[in-house]
Amino acid sequence: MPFGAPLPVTAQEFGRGKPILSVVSGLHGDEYDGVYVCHRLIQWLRTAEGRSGPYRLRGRVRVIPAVNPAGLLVSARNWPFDNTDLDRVFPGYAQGETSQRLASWVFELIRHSDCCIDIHGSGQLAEMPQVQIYHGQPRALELAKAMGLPLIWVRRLTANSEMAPQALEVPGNVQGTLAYNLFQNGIDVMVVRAGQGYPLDFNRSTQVLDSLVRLMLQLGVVQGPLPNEPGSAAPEVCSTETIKLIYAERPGLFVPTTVSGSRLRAGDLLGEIIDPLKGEVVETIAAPSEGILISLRNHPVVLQASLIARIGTG
Amino acid sequence: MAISAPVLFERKPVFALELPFGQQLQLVNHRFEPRFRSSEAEATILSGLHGDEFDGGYVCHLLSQFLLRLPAGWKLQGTVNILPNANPLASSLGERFVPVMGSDLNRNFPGDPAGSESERLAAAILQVARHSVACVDIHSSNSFLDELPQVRVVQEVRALAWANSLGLDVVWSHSVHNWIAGTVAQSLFELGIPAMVVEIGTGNRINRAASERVFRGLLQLLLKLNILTGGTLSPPVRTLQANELNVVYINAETSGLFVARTNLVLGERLRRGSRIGQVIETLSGQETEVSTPLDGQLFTLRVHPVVYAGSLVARLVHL
Repeated sequence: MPFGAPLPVTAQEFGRGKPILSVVSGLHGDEYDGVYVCHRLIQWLRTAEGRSGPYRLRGRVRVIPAVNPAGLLVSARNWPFDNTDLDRVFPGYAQGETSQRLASWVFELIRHSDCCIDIHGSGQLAEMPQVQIYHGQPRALELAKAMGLPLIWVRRLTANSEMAPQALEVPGNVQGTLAYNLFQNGIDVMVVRAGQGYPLDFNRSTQVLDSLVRLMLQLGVVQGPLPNEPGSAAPEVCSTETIKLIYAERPGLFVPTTVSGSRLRAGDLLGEIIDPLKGEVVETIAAPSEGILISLRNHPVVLQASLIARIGTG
Repeated sequence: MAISAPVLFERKPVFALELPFGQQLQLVNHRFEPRFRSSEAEATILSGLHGDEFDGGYVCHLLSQFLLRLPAGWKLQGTVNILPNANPLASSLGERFVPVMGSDLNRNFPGDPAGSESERLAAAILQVARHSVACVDIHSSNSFLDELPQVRVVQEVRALAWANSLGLDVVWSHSVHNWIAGTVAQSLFELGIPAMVVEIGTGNRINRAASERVFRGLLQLLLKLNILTGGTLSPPVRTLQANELNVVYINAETSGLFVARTNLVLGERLRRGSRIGQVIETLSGQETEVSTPLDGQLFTLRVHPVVYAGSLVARLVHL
């Protein structure tokens, strides 16, 4: 970096041979939950490597806990200097801008893995623990089920950016993500999302760590017993078509009255939007149908049409 | 100035979003139509998709003023939509992206009228442009680079001809399978409308001379499209043709401060090995020369002094 500052981006590797699992987090500098999970995963792997617990490594695990150190330093989602979203510049370019170099370095390091995990936390939305996979990767679906997190979101894209039929997603927003580029390269990839906001939580991170242990067992990267806490035996599987997006009708400050992960019946209250200038509640937001609350807005400021919640109705 | 042929002008709010703390975002279209005859064809000029780029706003202002007071002999035969500020909240806050959510508006097309704030805004912009035969999307560069007035366009006969009629310094074309997904230009292309993306100057500045050239270029384009008549088409200028194969990228090898060579100007022809400048390391005192590996004409130059290893310093069209 200019002015003599070093840019420490580290990767840790445990075990040897195959299969290989790669775990990445901290692409977005305002999402600390994944970085914390990686910290605990590294501790766990160190124990396994030292053969001091019940687990034995039978393959390799790579962990890159903090891809965006500058963003994490200042709590900015993007690479701060030029405001580039690191999770939109993949596969990167080794001779290019810093963001492209970082992306290229990460991509080259993990593209020969048998499975990749990108852990994201909560940014503007609190997320119930979930795994996202791409439609068309049947093995990834099996692996995701084995992880035992309560929700699997199967993402499905249109072929081009023309109007999205049947609520399929347009690629404009995902072209350049790590997961999409691994998917395009035929690597089984899962995006894990979990987090309720800034304070880190030991119990929540345990849930994600346990899911990674189950994944490593399923992949055959480690041998040993299943974690003590049972995961969800039958996770809810939602596809993009069955996820309802709830937008604010009125602007103001959003005050949530429930938490992500809740089971909802039609009419259950999600929160209200207040106008602090007038001292009035301008909108109450209720679930339009029953389902599971995947994401709920953390950030209080809402414009008209800001995303408030995602509800899985599948 | 003589009284112009009658033009129907409407300053029309086409979309609004309510914002917290009593504010509002409004998308305004300046729509010009011939008053006494039916419109031949429609064109859309839009600018300000990125809130830190202001040249386009000035170009749109010049064009609006011209159409309001058409000189003698000029006639408006078709319809012109002008969106002088496509991302108003971002520009008023001096931010590049749509505030709060922070997403790049020019990655959210075609948008969705029932979607999020960025998607709704994108859909409203596309709704204005979708009846056009051609669309021009005016950008400045970001605040890192200075650009020779140029137009970026897909390699298609009609689009290339129209892009060249703008008379700017560079036409930079790309193949049909090399789109950046989610841009307004791509969405328009999918609708069969050639979109020309003009890029001039630097972000957060007004580059007057270049803006005025773009304005004159737009008049040429509108004459060529027969949306305007009465003016004279200027003879074609020699425009540099850049494509995916002949652009030379020069990146900094080390980090530090980039200091351009004295008197280096955009548009200069450089021989292989000529100096572009140097990167200095203020703490260690180390200096690293930056020079061009090939002959070429300089069309992009870094203006932000801070560089990382790999930062783009200059671009040339190989000659």
